[in-house]
Amino acid sequence: MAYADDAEHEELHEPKSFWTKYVWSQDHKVIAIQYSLTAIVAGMVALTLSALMRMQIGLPGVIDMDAATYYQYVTMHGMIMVIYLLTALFLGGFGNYLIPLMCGARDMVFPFVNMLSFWFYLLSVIILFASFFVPGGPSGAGWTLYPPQAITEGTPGSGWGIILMLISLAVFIVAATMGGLNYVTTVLQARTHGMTMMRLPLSVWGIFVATILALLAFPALFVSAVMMMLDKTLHTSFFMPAMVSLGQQLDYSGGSPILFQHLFWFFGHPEVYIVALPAFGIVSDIISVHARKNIFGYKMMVWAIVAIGGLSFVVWAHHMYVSGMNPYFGFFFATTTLIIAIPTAIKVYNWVLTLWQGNLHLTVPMLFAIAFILTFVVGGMTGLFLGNVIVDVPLSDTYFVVAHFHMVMGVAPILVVFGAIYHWYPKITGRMLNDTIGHIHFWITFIGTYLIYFPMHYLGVLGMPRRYYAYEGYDFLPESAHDLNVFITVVALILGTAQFLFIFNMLYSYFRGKVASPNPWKACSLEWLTPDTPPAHGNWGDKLPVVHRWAYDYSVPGAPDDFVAQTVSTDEVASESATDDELIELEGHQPSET
Amino acid sequence: MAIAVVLALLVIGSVLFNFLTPWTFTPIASNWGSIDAMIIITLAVTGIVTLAIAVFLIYVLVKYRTRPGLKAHYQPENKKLEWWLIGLSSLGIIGMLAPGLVVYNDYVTVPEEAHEFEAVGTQWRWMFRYPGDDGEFGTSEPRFINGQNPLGLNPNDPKGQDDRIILANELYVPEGRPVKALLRSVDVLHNFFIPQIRAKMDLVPGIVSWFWFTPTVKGRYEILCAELCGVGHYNMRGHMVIAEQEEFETWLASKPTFAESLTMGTMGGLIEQGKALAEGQGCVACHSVDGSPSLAPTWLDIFGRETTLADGSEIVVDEAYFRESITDPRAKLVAGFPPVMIAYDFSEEQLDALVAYARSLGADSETTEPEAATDATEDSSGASDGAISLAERGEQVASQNACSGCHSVDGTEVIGPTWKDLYGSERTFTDGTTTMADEAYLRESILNPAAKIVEGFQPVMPAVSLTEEQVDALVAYAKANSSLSLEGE
Amino acid sequence: MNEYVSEPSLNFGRSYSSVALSRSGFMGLRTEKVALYILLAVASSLFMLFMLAYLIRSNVGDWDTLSQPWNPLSNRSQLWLNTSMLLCSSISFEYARRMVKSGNEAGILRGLMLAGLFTLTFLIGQVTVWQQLIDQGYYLNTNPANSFFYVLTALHGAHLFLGLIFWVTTMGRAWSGKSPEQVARITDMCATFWHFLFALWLLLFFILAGPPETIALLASYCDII
Repeated sequence: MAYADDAEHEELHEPKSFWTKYVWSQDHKVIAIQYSLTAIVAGMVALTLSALMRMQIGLPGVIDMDAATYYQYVTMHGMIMVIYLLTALFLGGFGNYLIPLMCGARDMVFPFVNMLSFWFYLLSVIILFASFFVPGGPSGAGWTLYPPQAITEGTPGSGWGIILMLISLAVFIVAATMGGLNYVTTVLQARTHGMTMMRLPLSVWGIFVATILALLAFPALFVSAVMMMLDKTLHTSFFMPAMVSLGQQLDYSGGSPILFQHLFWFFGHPEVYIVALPAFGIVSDIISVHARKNIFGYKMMVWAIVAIGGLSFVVWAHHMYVSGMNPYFGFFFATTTLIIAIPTAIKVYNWVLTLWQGNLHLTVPMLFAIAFILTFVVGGMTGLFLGNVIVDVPLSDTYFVVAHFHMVMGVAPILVVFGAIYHWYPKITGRMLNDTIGHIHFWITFIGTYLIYFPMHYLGVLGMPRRYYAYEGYDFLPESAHDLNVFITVVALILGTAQFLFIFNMLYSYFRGKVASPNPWKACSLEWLTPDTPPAHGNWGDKLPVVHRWAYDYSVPGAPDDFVAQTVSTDEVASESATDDELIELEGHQPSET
Repeated sequence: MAIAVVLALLVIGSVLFNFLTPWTFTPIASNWGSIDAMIIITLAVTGIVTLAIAVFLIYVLVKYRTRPGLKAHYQPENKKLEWWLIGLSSLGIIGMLAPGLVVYNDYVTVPEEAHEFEAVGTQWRWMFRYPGDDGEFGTSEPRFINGQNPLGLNPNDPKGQDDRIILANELYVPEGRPVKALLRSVDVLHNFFIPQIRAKMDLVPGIVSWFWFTPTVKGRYEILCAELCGVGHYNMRGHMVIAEQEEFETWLASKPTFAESLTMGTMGGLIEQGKALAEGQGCVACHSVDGSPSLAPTWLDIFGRETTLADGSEIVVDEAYFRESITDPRAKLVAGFPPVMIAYDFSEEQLDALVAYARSLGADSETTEPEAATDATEDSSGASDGAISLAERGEQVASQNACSGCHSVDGTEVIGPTWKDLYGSERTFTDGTTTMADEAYLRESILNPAAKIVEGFQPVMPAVSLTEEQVDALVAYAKANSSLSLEGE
Repeated sequence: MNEYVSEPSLNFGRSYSSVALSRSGFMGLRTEKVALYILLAVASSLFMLFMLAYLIRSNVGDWDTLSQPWNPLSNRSQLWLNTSMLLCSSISFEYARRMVKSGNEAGILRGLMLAGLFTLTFLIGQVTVWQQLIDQGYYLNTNPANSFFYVLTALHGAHLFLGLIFWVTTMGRAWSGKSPEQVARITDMCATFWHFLFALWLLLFFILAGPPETIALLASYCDII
């Protein structure tokens, strides 16, 4: 590829000072770590908020928390987790680190803009956290920020809280656009010699399509945020109907709260796939490496990712079945939502079929990947309940929904995050994460999250509503339901505490972990083939890698080892006695190009 | 092989849990059993597929775990298998979607014979409306909302004049008749949800949304708000009673029409309701209201009266006894009167109205007209009958205007300060100033809540429009709930 | 080859990627062109969603389109003037782009200067329209139609303004005669960007101030609230 030729001839301008190396860095690897650490810190704050929330639900009265504070925690927990942790970590963290390496590029195509993207992200986090300290506190309208309540009295944080929230989101969207531009353009333009689109690992495909979704969907959130900001500060009536608020007539009229919901969910549904698709891609790679087997049905996997991405734009109103929108829309959106289940199901089958007839090494990353399969299937199946409009009617706004989205966004992708960090830590730092702590962390996390969220679905079937500060005095709730809440709270507290094991492992192993070989898992994809571990500035040394095959040549018959890296040509790997059939396989499987 | 074992345990545990769990459907009280059926179908399909995948996963983990000499198979793809899987998955999807859409079609097709009620949500309580005899609702707009007209009905619309207004958090619906719930909000988004009915729908300010159902099982059911609507969201509960047609009609008849509610004011309305009930139901046929001898004890000055019962015991008539005598007359018969009274199955609200009416007949208590004399304040200290009745009146006013949604009387802090030991206490406000909670302060807090916000509370109390008399009553009620007193009392 | 290597890149920092900017890749396009098209896709998404919101909201009874006979934009002369200014700036950029191909440095400078001038005139003209509306009492929150007008023209103007920042850079380089390669590339990108914003402006103009009946007809297809 033309990019690769030029990249080899060019001088590398290596940063020299501490500041340009580690702070104002334009190196994608450093930016990735900056993004990831910021996201993890934000996530730990949100995790703490959830612990406090669970204390109120399960053990009310133990902490002194009033309803306003509870709702503020609910809102901040949700917003931080979805946007500032999951999106930032998958796109800004994993995207930044993996894309150039897996494509064989030296860096992203616009490194300066990439650097700016991180600092805008950090700014957005600071603005969001600042809302804890303004009069009235942070917004308590729920992460969905529905008007009119988000900006009227009666909801906590309807003053400065919501204003800072909206500004923070706008800044984040600018950051995401700058980053997204880099990720997409780099994948399209900066692949190395021989790296066709259909030879890319699925991690890249997942992040690539997710980024396209982000670029097209975040504008919808931006539009809603601008209009809500104007409604709040300048008393326009985009979303605000004629109404009273706590006895006072307000001077709005004609606006539509449902318009906000359409715009918000037009963003909101692709958003969940922005989180899920990178997880899908990454878990495919982890499974195939640790099963020593190519991913089953690579081409179908790529098409499934693209199909899911495209379909994700036409399902949004399944979040609005009981919103008061035109009831006939329910027919359309139920249909599209259930259709999107099919490419998703294909992916699940293919993951399991990859394991079948494999050579399964049950390393910590592999354990997390397997846990992902189970929890994603359970969480995804409950999505089918909610997608089918009539079934959603009794279940909407109950704990069934809370259980579903936690399982499918909070458990499954987070398990992939952990697995991915255990998997790539040796490449990023040159050391292995401690295996024993890894196993303990895994078991507590997997079993804990399952015990929390599986039973929670049944509370939803019972009719227990979500976003309630307290459940005292409701006759239809049996005493045992309150007992389950206590159980969930206790498990959640143990689970939350156990995450410090992971943090400890990361810090401890950075200094004292076993030194890793460059390719400890014996994987095929390019990131493992850098001359230095951790990779140096420019990643590849003088010459960029030349790719001869796809990223999944594991256990190829006739090959001397159970993997053939992407850069290995047939001549190098075929023995003189190779049969014709074996030679064909050794030439490297070439899924036909798009 | 720990992972395979754990997976197996989790899967088996989940299946067992599903069949043994106590947390399942509430007993259904509507026609929407088809929704339950859809949930079961979906559970069956998804459950079987999940089990199949899980079992296969466990099998694969056991059979293909690494061991020396094991080599993985090299098979990039298997198009035939993939297309089979796509086909089977599609069948499963269709198998859930098709019946689901059929049931949904029922859900959005209101039967012609359905009657209607309107549920109006406001932060943080429910109000209801039935069309009057003309069968049609009058129009409404937020700009008409005030203390007298909390539903914002258009006073100039003739169709609305006979609409029945229900301000307490309780709605009756007749059993067995399909009903369309028209939903309206005057402020923010809410959601009307009764788990036993299965249906729910958001209330959206600016539009009228709806759903329909047929109530099938008599009983009293909780209405939950299911759309986060501010700090009081978790406490925005109401009740729906599914009743026999007759009982429903009695209940409905006891509700004021819009026209009546405009002219009367809430408190007067209650007494008027009581009077209407007493006359309409025939109470006054036996119980005189002016002290003259009659077939049954006179209601004039009945509260506080020492009475001998048929079994010889002595009681003092209080509200509890009065109410019991209506609903279960034979429990404590008064000596000297024939035991001929039938039981009346009135609602709490109807009983409230009768109590209010009976009290209003008392010589030294307040007048029946809304423009009440304010000598109530003289009664508010000391333990005379007048003070207790005023305080109890205050209890009614509080419940009518949903004060208890935010203010408890037992000491628990809800959204607003508790009224227990409020009067006579020292209050600290958000601006740092303090004051003793005397009557003037109590009155100000009711009529102008934003003037002084108590520290530690949110400034979310709505302005309420009450008559002098109602405010007096509330003050008396607050005092009755306080063990404190101020100097000079 | 050397001239590519030693150029500082579009990004003001130093990095190897300046080379990537000059070479063909996806669909034979230069990397920066690809990036521009992606940005235009994002901007399209943004404006399409805003315009959809406009059409949806316009179905509610309190709506009062600004081009109704009793409203100020029934007289569109100022808006047409502005439109012609924006057209001229697009033409100027296209002229500059042609001059790049023929290597005519004086021509490039001329084209760029005219483009900038016309753009500024457009922006001033837009602010003039705002002023006229405000003078007649048509504020941001007077009517939802007004709100959308101000917001959409502001957003469009903001995009033009950001483009002007790149224009300043190009002008600076063209004037100093250094880095002709950069001048060539940025002129090409600006031309594309300006054409996009002109086409977008035509659409916005039509939606915001076109014949009220036509707008109402379009809106009726979006009557989803």
